[in-house]
Amino acid sequence: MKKEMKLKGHIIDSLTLSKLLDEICNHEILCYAIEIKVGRRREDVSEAIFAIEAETPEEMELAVKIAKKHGAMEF
Amino acid sequence: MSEKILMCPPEYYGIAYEINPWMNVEIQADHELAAMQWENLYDILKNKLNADINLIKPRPEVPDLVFTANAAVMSGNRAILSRFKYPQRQAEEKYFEEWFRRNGYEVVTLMKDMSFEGAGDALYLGGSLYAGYVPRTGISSHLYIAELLEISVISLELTSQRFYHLDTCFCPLKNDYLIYYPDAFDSYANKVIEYNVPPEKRIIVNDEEASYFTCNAVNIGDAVVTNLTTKRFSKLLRENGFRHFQTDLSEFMKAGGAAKCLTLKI
Repeated sequence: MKKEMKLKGHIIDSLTLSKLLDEICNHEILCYAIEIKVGRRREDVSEAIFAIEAETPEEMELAVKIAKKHGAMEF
Repeated sequence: MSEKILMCPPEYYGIAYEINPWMNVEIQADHELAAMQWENLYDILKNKLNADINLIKPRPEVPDLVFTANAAVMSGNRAILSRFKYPQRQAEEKYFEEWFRRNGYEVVTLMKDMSFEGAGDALYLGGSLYAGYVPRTGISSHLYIAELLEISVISLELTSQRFYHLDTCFCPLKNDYLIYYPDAFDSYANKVIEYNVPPEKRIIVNDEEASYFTCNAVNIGDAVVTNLTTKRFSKLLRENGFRHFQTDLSEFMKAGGAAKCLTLKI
């Protein structure tokens, strides 16, 4: 099963996107960035769309919980 | 110009509940001693460092109102009010809002489903706002504040319940110096700090100093005010051009607070 989520904020400067993907992968759940739009100026927010591919509903639930802790949104 | 600071006398301060690992209702604060310690801090700020201290009236039903750092994060004349995570502190919000409005500040309130604990979890350094998340503040508030203030908000994950607010382990100083405790952060947050703060500007506290809430400091000009801490730390501050004022805040440590928690720069 696959789910796409969105992460918005100063996610490059804060390493939030890397951390989120890393933390999900540490549970041996596949996840990857699909698209990253980086803000042009320092104060502009960036936006990323990433995917989670889980083998079970439990894995998906865990991955989504981790993603939401770091501010990701379902869309 | 003197630094304008909001404080709250500890008339009703006490350990009425437990919302962090420092609090234990069986280990009560000594009320007289707490009042004396608060007066000593007030005296240092007002009479030695020339701060303009403003007071909010204490209320019996909110013993933690004394920790004014959690009232809001300030941006000029704007106060972005806190949304406390725990119900025990949510009753403080209306008193802080009332105080800011009555004193001519523009008040911004966050959505009800956001948790955000003011200058306890959001501190300016080098043109960015560094913001802690997980124990108390939710990261969704960071995006809201970034867009509201049009400022870069750097999110730092706090990994220890003992250091539950950013200001317990991270203290920006004049000229972009930083006092911080690396063990309170995850590895990514440490990388972010190391990337943004050059080594010569980092003042790193050890485990013992962290346990005295040495990072929970008030900085006014070249003066740094902390709870009682180590000689090593005093020496570090002096070597970096700062004057160090120490004052015993043991009774407030029983609630998980020290000098910075008791003040809000307004």
